[in-house]
Amino acid sequence: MQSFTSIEIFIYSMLEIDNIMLEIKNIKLEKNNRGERMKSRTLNRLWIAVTAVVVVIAVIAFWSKLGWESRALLPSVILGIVIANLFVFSWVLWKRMQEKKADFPTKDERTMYIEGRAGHYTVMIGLWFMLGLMWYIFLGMEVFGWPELKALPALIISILVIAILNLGLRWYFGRKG
Amino acid sequence: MMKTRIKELRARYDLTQEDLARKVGVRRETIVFLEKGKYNPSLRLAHRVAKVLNTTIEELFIFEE
Repeated sequence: MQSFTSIEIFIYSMLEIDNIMLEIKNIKLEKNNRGERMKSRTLNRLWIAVTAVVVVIAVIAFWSKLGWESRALLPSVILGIVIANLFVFSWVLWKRMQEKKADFPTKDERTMYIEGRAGHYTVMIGLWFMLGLMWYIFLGMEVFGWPELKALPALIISILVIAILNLGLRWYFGRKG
Repeated sequence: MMKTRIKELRARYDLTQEDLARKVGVRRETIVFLEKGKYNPSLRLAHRVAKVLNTTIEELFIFEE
């Protein structure tokens, strides 16, 4: 793995901060341009820039606290991503509230259509996934002697699959139209 | 394939996507997708948009085989 000096890390984090400032400037410009829908690209860029800078700061903070030889890279990256996502999520929530204040409906016929479509596919795929799990337990474990799958992990996996699938499908149909 | 004249008529009345969305009671994204022809609106929404833009549904939405 390539190692960076503290000066290099400092320069990279400065560049990322510069990126964020540019993004904020872009958002302001787009806000002024009434009627133009804020491009989803901006949100993606903001998300990437915020994640990158928070990860860099988290890595520096962890390593400077625990020493440069410690194995703090992975936890600090995960923590950085979590913090960045919380930040971006709060920003999206704030934007939604602003829209609500400006009398825009939070749901209209298109969002309901998207949610319904995503829900339909989630139920269908989730059902097939559950059937797969059932066959794994009945056939795989009993007949073929595959590793045992306990009830709790099976339940957690099912919930995660359904939740992530639904979110993913809503995002996909929202973009696709 | 559906084409719309929403953008053209919106410009004629100097309405932004935001204004139109507010007038017909939908989200801005819905207007964006309507203009791109990527969303088939309900009859009620089509009627509301046509009414705001002083036109008819037939003139606003053009269906191509």
